[in-house]
Amino acid sequence: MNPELRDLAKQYARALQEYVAGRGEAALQEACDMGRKALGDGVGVHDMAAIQHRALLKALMRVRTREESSSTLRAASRFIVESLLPFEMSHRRSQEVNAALRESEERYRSVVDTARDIIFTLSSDGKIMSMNPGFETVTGWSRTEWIGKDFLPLVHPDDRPRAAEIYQAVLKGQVPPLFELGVRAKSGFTIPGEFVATPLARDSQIVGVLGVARDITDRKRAERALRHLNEALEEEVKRIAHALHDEAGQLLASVHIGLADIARDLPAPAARRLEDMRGLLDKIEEQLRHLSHELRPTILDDLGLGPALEFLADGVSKRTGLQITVEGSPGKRLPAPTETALYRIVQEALTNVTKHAQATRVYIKFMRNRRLLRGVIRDDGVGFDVPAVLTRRGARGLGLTGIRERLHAVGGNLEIIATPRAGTQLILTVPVEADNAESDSPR
Amino acid sequence: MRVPIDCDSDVVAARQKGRELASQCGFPSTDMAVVATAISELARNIVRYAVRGEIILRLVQNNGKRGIEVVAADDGPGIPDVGLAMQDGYSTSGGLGLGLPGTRRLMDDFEITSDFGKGTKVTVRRWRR
Repeated sequence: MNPELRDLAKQYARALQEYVAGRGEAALQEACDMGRKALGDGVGVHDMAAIQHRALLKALMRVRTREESSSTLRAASRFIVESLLPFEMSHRRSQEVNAALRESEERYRSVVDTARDIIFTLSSDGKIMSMNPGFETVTGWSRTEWIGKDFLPLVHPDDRPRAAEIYQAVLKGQVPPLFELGVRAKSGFTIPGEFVATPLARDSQIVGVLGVARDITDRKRAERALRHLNEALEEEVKRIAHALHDEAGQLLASVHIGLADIARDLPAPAARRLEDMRGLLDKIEEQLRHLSHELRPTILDDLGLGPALEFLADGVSKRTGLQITVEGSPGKRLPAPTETALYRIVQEALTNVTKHAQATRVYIKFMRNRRLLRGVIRDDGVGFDVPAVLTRRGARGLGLTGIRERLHAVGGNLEIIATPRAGTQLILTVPVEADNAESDSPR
Repeated sequence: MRVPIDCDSDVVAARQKGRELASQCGFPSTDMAVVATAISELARNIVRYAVRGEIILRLVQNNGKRGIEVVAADDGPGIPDVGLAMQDGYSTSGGLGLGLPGTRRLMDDFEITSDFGKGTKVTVRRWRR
């Protein structure tokens, strides 16, 4: 017995002896208090039994008659019951806590089991430790086919290096932003999945990875549909712009020549009136050309985004008096849908500035960094309350929703930094091909 | 039966009375110890937090069941947040599950009312099996 236990045993034997000798309730209260203290000191029930045993042996040594022996035994049993009650209370607490834990565990399990997302855990050596039924619904695989196996073969071969890289980063304690990976379904198809992953810790040590994956097939399909719709619209706009500029323009030119012919044959006063008419025709022609360029600047198709933006800025500047600076460069030619989307976004943003911002200056900058194109459109206007404006739809939504949707359709993202009375900043990011290749992208 | 609670020796007296009453009611000795311990916990709280109060003991009946009722009443400062006080680890007993929550688990019925500034009343009952 260690010294503390020996002290307790000594006190216990003395108190029991006093109880046997008739000290009564105060001795029982002491038994109860000893139990409380023993429990707090981490003494076990088994130790208490040993202490009781020793104390009882000691008490029985003083017994002389049979009556004394039976009354001593009765007293000792009441005494031990009293000293064990604190342990009983603590035991009941553990039972209650366990029941509550079980209930909470069941609650979590039912959330995990009914989730439509895939919820999984990976061990620190890349094995799948657990997966919810959502995995079976999404992929068609049975969970037993994968639990205990490496997770990488579930990922589309093209995405495996990136998946492995992210997995290692999470094991080091990092929490990566949302990422997308292709998941191999049992049918052989690849399902686009959007993932979140966090370190799985036990006793403040990382033992694996907890991940949630969402099937984003529908979203991808919608994005593709939107992209096609935008492309179709652009084609239509191109056709109209062409009709205005070339066909109508040519007709007008013929009218010009015809009128000039007629003017030669007319007496001077009539010819002068005709000359006035030709001035009006010139204006119509000018407006048609202007309109056609606004609709679809051929410069975008011919020279690319950078020159097209400068052309756009120049036009808006002349028309509105805004000082617009275009800096940086989007780098080498981008896929046509991306260039168009970015051009339209800047156009829409400039329209916003003109209509709402009461700004005097606008600053536009595009930079390309490896696989990311970043654009900033900043004004010194009145700004606005972002959440309030974004929840408004349609015409009063400042077209920001449209900008965001256009960007999403080409895989990009929009960040809006605006504060009332402190200007607005739109930050666009679009994933693009690395800029170091020799050839231009196919048009 | 009323036992005024003022100091630690009153706690022992209340336990004694409770044990006697439980014995009259025919409780086995282990249950008598349970009642005594509950009285201890409640009466100690009075001494510690309210300084003065009383323990009221009576035999009760319900649908043919017989039992003992212990009421601990004081006019001390009261408990600002009863829900919090009923959680383990709130009182001085730490996280061992003693004190008020421990008493609740030992007894069959447990009721507590406390008005901040007007005192506390805890009623517990233990029925004969």
